[in-house]
Amino acid sequence: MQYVHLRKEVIMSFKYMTVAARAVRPAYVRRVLIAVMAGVSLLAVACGGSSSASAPTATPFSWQGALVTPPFVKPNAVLTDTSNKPFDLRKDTQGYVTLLYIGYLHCPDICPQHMSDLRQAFIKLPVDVTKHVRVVFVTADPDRDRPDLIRKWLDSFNTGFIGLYGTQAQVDALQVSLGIEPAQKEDLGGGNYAVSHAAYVIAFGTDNVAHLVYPSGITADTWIHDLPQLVNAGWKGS
Amino acid sequence: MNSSKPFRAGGAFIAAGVITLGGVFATGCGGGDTATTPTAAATTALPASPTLPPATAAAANPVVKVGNLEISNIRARATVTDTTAVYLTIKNNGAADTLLSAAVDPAVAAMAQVHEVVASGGTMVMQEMKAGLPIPANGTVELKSGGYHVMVMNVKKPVAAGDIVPITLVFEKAGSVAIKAPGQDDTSAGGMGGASASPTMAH
Repeated sequence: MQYVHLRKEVIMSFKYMTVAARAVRPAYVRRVLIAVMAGVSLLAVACGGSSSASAPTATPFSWQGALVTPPFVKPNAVLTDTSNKPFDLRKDTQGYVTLLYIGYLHCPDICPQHMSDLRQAFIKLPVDVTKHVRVVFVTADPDRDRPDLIRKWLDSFNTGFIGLYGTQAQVDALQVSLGIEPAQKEDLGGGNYAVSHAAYVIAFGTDNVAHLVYPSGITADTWIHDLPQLVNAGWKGS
Repeated sequence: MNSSKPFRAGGAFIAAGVITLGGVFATGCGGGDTATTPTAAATTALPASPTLPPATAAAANPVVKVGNLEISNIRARATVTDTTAVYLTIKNNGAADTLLSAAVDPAVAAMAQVHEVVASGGTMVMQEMKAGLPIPANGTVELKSGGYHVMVMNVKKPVAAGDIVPITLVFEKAGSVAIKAPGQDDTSAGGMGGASASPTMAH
């Protein structure tokens, strides 16, 4: 239980946290606790002044995504894309900043909000940035989310977004390799069900390592802030 | 089947800590900084959450009054699937009330439920609020992404931007009220969302 509770505190999203999290790199547990406390105290400062996203003195770059501690390597998984061809997650995204999200189409709230934010960001960001970014959506609900539906859904946001599916076992295994508890179905009645899933987008740099995650509650502006840096300067947080 | 047993995954762990901490932030930051306030926090932090100035949305999206309640910023998520979410803001000018349930015309969709998004282990799940959503006295509750929404299931025709989703909200004290939620491509409360923000931007 304690392990779970600590894990819950690890990912502190939002810019207030990033400085604290970056500064602290000792043993796992201590890192978590210190970061939590530091983050909370920083909050006072962050809230005190202007709430603008552009801090005047930004050396080093201040990520708005939440730091992943410790960073982890992009899983070596092969799923199937919406044109029913095999998609090797690592090989087929090599060299791109890769934004991986696991969700499901009947999700009315968090999943489409992430995609909607990314859609807006892709409209506003220069092509020189977006052409180096791959957005990869993997369904956690392969029973209902057939490839043509996934394609149609993603196309409503951006025709370039990649959609993947697999057997439930494959999708579950991918989630485990990402540190996510495999999705579970929650009955809603009337034949409907919800699927529990991680609510964050995982960002892998061109080094194939996940350094940042973007939880529910961010906006398109978060992507507009962080993506150019990830693409142009790479990960420089460690 | 919510297992809260330790879940181990090699090294990378990620979690819904956002929720707990988000609550702290939302409270700490008060109003104003809506763009970066974690909405996931709403489940724990809710009622007195920052009141969004619905400046731009107000004109195109009328305020519906029922009893002591003012319902505003009503919108539905445009989607190609058969489920959608309705979001809105409820301002209470009187005693505490409860949003008990939501209903939808069977000709439009099979059912509607008041949902919350909550952390379950390391993941998030949305679930029906069977006891209803409390509307505190003289408080404001926002239904927005990552917190609360009215989920509308098995819609007969996917909701496009500009389509109207008519639903009924049932309050314990204020009674029932019919509202019309216009479909929007971007329903985010703090973002470019407002009703005037050209919902049908190029797909």
